[in-house]
Amino acid sequence: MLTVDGKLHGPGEKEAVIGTYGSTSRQRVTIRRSPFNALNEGPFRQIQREGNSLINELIIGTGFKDRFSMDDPKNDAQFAKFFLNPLLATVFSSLGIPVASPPRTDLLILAQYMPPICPGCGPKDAGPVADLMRLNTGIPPTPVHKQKRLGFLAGDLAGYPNGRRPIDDVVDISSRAVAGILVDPIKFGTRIGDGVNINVEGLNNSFPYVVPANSGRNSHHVGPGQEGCTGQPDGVCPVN
Amino acid sequence: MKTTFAVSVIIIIIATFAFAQSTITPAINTLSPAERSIAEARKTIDRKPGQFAGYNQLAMALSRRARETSDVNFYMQAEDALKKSFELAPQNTDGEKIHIWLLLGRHEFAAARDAAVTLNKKVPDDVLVYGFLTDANAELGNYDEAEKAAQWMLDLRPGNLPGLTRAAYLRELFGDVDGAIDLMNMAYQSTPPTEVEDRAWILAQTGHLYLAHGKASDAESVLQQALAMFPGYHYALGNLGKVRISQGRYDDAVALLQQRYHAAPHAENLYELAEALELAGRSGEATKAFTEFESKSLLESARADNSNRELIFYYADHAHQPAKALDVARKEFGGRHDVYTLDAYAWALHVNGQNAEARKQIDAALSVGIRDAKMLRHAGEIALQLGDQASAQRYLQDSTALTFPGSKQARAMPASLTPTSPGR
Repeated sequence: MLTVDGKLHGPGEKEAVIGTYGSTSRQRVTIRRSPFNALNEGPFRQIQREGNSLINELIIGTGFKDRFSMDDPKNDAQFAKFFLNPLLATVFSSLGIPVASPPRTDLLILAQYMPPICPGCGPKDAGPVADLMRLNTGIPPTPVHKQKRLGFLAGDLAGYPNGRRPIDDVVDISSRAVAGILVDPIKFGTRIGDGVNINVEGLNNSFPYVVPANSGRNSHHVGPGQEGCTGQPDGVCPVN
Repeated sequence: MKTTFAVSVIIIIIATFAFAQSTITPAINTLSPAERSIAEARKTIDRKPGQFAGYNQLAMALSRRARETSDVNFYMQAEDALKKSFELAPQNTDGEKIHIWLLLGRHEFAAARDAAVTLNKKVPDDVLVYGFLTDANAELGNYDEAEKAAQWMLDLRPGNLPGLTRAAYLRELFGDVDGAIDLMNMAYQSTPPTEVEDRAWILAQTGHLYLAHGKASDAESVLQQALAMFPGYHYALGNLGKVRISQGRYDDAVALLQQRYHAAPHAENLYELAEALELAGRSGEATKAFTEFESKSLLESARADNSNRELIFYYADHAHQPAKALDVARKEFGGRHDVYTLDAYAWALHVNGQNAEARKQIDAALSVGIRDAKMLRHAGEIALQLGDQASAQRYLQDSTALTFPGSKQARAMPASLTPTSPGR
């Protein structure tokens, strides 16, 4: 078990919640080469990371995204201001979409240990702001046929942002969270989305679950209203 | 406004961004990359005249055209476009970046560095702003700062094109020409084939590096490639002219440098042409060209964007007016301490008989690491005047090794082991 003490915990215990992230690194090109057996490239260096989906794309402001990519979550306090006042919320607002007012403490659940993902956590357990994918290992997985694409927002507690499953529509969930759906689902509940609500290829039952990408030559992007949502009731893509 | 390495390298970024956004129609495919960008920017402005972004796009495209043609009028037009951008959106970040780039173009390096430091605080991880910091600091001779900024560019976004070309320039300054060629090759591989001028620029720089390494045939091959890709390209013509000099084909060098001067009529280009005419034994034409150079150079001497380095060497080596050389050199040294300025200052001191101070300056230049044939020769001759035969021999041998083995210059080199009188 990956929990802090290696044991199983119930959903209400703070020890049940883990935080993870993945990163990509490549060799560093150094201006000063090693003098002997001169090499252009030095040690590996992180160039990208991902904890919660789309944090860099939707929350971190322009001019700070590269720095975010190369840094570690433990240093994310420097980006706290973006969580509390994300640029995308300003963009939504300029488009006439109602958004919650800053400071956006509602978004801190993505970056700290706190309810509802960690119902057992008190204020002292929150930890520093850090983009980690939180997962409450005490919450049992939702059976595949009952999973909802909007995860937590649709009451499917085993879905994003409590971990991330292949079915979770992270673009729609994250966009709506940025607008403020967690503050007031009526007032700030605009159904923002990218219009891609289902995976036409479906998912496999075993790892890696997602099917290989379409051929770039023989396929084209399916937008809302095009083939892809056909076969759904009234040709409308499911919203939940 | 002329283009130094620092200024011309920035265009690469612009081109890369433009490529990503390009929506070129077949009808305008015959235009140069910069002309296409200008046409696209004007279309954007027509569609959205109230938005600043179109004017920024136009300013960048015009600057790029300036590099393609070496025509300073495009820089002035770029400044006009930028002015409109700021009228619509004061202090917009992209506009501020173009402003710094234009400061670099005017050779106002200290102002450019200060503006870049300020902008860096506003957008701390913008790769291009680190590029400006690299350029301004390298031109001022603050190599530690330049290196720090360039390394950060490569760390922040590994393999980014503007980072690679700047790192190549620094490697050259630090004496690692092979490593610089490696990085230029990496940059070339990352440049889209449609960006012919960018590719030709990288090849022209690679040619310069081969030349600096004494590899004239490799230089010739990449420079011919650059000229095939972007015919009449002034950077490639200039460097190919230098290859011809190294091969002792002085009349061919003159023809190429005349062509380059015709395309880019700047004083420093006229100086190189005059030197080639002299080598070709066409002394009447050379004298005329030197005289024209002097008047042209003096007109711009008080500006930040000048040809004072060439003027120093002209007074020191051709006009035999050492006092004037030192005057100009002191003025340049007051503003910047890059290796080329230090070299020119050292040489001006040397021809005025101030060899101890000259040695200090040339040592400071060489301590950066640069392996430049002309600089090493200067160091050798200064050491010789100071009676330091051992250092003189080492410097002059190193210089000879880099001066294209077999060339007339290389064969003439051992002759300089005899002390010359100051103020020759």
